[in-house]
Amino acid sequence: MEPTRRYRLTFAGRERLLAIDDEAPLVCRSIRETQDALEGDLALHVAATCPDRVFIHAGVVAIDGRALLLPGRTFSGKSTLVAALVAAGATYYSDEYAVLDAAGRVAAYPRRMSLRRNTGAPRRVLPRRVGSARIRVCWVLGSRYESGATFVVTPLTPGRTALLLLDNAVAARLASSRVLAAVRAVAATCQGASVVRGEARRTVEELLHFCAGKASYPPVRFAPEDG
Amino acid sequence: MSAQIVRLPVARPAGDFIVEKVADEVLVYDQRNHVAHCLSPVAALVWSLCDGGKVDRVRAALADAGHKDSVEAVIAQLSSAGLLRAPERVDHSRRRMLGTTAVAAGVVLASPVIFSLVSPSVAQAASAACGAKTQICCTTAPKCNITLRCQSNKCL
Repeated sequence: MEPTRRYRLTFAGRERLLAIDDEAPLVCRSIRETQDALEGDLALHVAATCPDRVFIHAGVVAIDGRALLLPGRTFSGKSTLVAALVAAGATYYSDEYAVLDAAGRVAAYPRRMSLRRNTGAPRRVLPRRVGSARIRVCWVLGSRYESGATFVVTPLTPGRTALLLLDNAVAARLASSRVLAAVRAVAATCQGASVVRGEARRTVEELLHFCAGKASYPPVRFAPEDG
Repeated sequence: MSAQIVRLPVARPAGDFIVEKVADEVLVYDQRNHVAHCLSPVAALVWSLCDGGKVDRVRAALADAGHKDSVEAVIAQLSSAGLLRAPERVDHSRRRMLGTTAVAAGVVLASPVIFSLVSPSVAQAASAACGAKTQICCTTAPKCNITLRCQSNKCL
């Protein structure tokens, strides 16, 4: 079997040079940086080339056996939200990729949660409650952080929910047909919305409230943080 | 007030697109430029009927379906989204018409009937802005500007 990706690690003084295929080598200053770069690239390569799954950049948790997807690019705050949701009792599925099958169900991608800090490398933690079964996606929420924002939910039509998922699909251009079918399968049966959110802790309360069906829908404007 | 068109434009060949119906909307993926569109029911209906025939048929179909949107305004949005075939010859009256309908789109439609986005490349889907000094760069495959180094997720 021919390899589809080649890695070469060399040392230059105290630095490590990680070359991927024929690209210019990445300069890594520690083992940790090297591990992160290698793991990240491998994960992305699998996400882009997996023949029977569709990878969406999203945080995923299960609430009462149903999946909540939080699509977003790197540094969009999805790991922070996922961690806060897990701390509030949700089951951990992923803080990086939602792995969808053709029927639109999501599988766990239980890598250690990456909790970024103000300084230094992110802390990696694997929660105790990790999902295993493939489950139906019930909610897809695109969120945007605004400091001190009021929590506002605006519903999305199924078509726009599918666009939100497509906008974060790793293989959107490489396997467009398969990606479109998978996001359609999800969007046809879930509740999609865009959310403007403030701090994670308060956002989690509102999200759980929303997913429990206690929030009126659509659209909802909750009281500001201080009331 | 906008002028009314008599004949419909022609939709681009079906082979250019991947099409999926979701609820009463239609997802259209343009394989030539990797732009994805979400067509509202009215836009999907008009697009499906764009075959160069008479526009009266579309007006009747919209009326039957209870839509009050202007055909001209919907066609202007379909044209802007690149879902229609460009006229084969210079047709000044049609060009004038497209200009008119573009204005009409803003006036007549209460809300957009098409939402579009450029689908991300693998690298775009994976990372935030990356490369310039002090920018946060992706942890997955740090690709800072060639003069910089990725340290603690920042290009320094």
